Amino acid sequence: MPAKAGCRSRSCTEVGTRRDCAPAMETRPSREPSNPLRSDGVSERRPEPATIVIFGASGDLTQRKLVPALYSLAAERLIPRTAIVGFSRSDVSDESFRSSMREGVAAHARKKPIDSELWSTFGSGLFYQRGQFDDPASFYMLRRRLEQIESELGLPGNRLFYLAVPPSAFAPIVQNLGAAGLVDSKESPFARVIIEKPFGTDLESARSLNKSIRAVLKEKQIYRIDHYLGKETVQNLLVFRFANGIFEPLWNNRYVDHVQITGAETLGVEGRGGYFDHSGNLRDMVQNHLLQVLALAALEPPVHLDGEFVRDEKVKVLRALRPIGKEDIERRVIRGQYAAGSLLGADVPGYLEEKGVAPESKTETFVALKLAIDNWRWAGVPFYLRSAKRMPKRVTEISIHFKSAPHRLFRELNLADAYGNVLAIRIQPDEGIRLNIGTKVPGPSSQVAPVTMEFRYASTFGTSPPEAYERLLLDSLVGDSTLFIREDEVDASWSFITPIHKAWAESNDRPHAYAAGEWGPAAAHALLEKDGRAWRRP
Amino acid sequence: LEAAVKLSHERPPLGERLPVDAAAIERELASMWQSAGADQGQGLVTRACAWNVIAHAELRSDREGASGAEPLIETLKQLPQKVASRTLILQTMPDEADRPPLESWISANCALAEHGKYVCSEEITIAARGRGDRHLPGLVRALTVPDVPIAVVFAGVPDWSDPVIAGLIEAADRLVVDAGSNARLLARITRLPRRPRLGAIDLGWIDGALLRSAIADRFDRISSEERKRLKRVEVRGPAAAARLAAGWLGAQLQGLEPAAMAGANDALEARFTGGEEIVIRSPIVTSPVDRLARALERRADEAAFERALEIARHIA
Repeated sequence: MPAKAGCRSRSCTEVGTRRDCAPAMETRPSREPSNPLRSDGVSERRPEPATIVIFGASGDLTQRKLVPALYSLAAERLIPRTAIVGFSRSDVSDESFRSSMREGVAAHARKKPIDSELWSTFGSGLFYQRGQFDDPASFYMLRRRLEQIESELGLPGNRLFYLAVPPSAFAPIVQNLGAAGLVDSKESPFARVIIEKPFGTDLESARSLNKSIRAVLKEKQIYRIDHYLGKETVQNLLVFRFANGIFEPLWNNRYVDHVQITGAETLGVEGRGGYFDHSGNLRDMVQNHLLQVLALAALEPPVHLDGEFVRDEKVKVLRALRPIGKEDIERRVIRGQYAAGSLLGADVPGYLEEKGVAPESKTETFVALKLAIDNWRWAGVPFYLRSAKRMPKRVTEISIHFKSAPHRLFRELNLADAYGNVLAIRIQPDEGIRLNIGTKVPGPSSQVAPVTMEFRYASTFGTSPPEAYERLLLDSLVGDSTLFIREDEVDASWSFITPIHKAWAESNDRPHAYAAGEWGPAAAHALLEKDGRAWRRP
Repeated sequence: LEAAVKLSHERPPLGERLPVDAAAIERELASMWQSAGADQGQGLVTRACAWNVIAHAELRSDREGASGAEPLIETLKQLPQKVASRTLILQTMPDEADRPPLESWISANCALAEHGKYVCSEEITIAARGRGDRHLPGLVRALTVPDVPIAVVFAGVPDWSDPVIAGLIEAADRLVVDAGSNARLLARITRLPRRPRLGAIDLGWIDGALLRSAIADRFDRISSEERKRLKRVEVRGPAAAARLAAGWLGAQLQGLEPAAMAGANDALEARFTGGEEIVIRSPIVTSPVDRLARALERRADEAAFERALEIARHIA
């Protein structure tokens, strides 16, 4: 029976003792269109008309990312008529909300300048509803407002709720949505909920949050967003590995020496010292973004590209991460904290001098880890991850470092040896792929120099790739959950990260200091040097 | 209004220096290339880079080891014709504290290649005044292109213990120095901290390449007995080049006393005495840009240079 096709063993997820089987509509919603005109290959990913409710509508994310992304989707005619309802505590009129969003679109949308004609349609679909996240009455009012808007605009009642709010508000909002009858689990019209990170602060809180949300929503209705997964280059990892015949045979411990994943920011805490001081880079970046990237780089070929199959493979990687406990934390994890320094031509203060940061804070602004994936493919191949603030440049990339030639004929004049064969996949900025090889320098000698073969998205395709939020919003409207994080992935990543936090909490050691504008503390370099390797200069 | 809008989107043509904010250099370069691609037609401009070449030029003449800054800057501007490179020219002006501490410019050096494409290299110039030089190591970390080696070129021989210099060379694969007419600076080269992968070369060694080759050719025709009778060699020419050539001979020919004397700037001459006098002259023909390009090559004679330097620094 087709509806049960998704419930074969590979699409079932196990979390704790619960077993969750996804029906076929969840795994292949866009492949079984009710409208035959959507199966022409061009318009099949066009979602049905819907209403998008953004909780936390007065926040930065809404103005800088979400509404500009929806505008860009509308400009490219990728979404049909849509109502967007902002929900927040502030007392704001529809007109004022529209005006504020117009500014956001003008400044941050990929499609510039604003098309007045398009805006008149798009802007008229923006509404604002004042309410409290923990007040059930606010949600009954929201329901009435939605019904009124949908009736006026002729929308079918599909609803996407976006929780762009602090984590403490996730559970109350979901509970109130449930109580107000706004999130029925029926297929049509649909009700889906996008939840922003952080999804918990440790394993216990993540499980607790999952439990309270799952009391109201089915897993298929939950879209846990990690905007890294919406980036074109991250998605291209699957294409690169599985659409080309030449790389996958090399993608294993026979040919790969090690893998590095770098998430470097030039920014400090930017006025969010109070928040960051309770979070740190391990929670803020590694637990979600970098582990997701690692999972995509290391996963086995999925049998199908639909959501559950890819996520099944990702969770296997996360579960195969060798735990880091108290006994080996010093050998495998380095934490650092930036001191005052010079960055891009300006003096910047140290972390402890930032507003909102505790004077004796031990929160890490840098973390480097040596990970092992205990499976057949990656046995013996270390994965080095580093994530940090106040680095010399902003860059996120994965680099696959291949083993050297077994017999080195050109040792004497070989400057390329120092650089090796490296495949670097740049996630941001300047998205693209570089392959580093050694080549003979023209002339009578046998000098070997490193050269790169490079592909850049912007120059090859003549346009910047879409913003991550565009892709993710579109996917959630279409019902494609491939690029969203499933409950068991959250569980697996926190299971790996939480023991590290516990070990740090029990330690009296302070993070290693590094000057802002440097590539981390000396101990982070030593982490690789003792293995005879070095961090790549991104 | 139309003119104003057009102006705000226009970029100067490649080759013209565009002033930019130091923090926005990479972004402005990307924008410049995008603009260049649009101007020159699809696929007619190739952005090439095989080296990061960082030139540190201190524009103050009264400091030992800091001479030759202006000629070095001129040479760097021509280098992309020989070596595809991203060039970072760091001009430090420690005495000028009354102007902005940092100013920067970008431009592209393009040459029309045989296949009809423009092959272009990037040039970034950063002027650091007063204590603005403390920002240079961080800017260099941010602006080097990954996967290609880094060479740091100095006008003179710097003081390696200077924190700014130490920051500039921390990721370098090759250092190019120029003791020039100040032979005492050769000793400073040897104080360079040892680090795997890092090689240093003095341009005087490049200047002596033809002389070394000519001497080796001549010695093919000298018997071992005759060679043993040679007791002393005196090399004349530019100070550092002459000492390095003498040092090389002292290291390669045991029992030979090496000496160096000031001589012409455009030639080197080696005079062997003790047995039958042998005089070998060789011009220094390489252009400044050629000698710099050669200094970037990984050379088979690196070990010979180090041995020569060790002796050259002790030659009176």
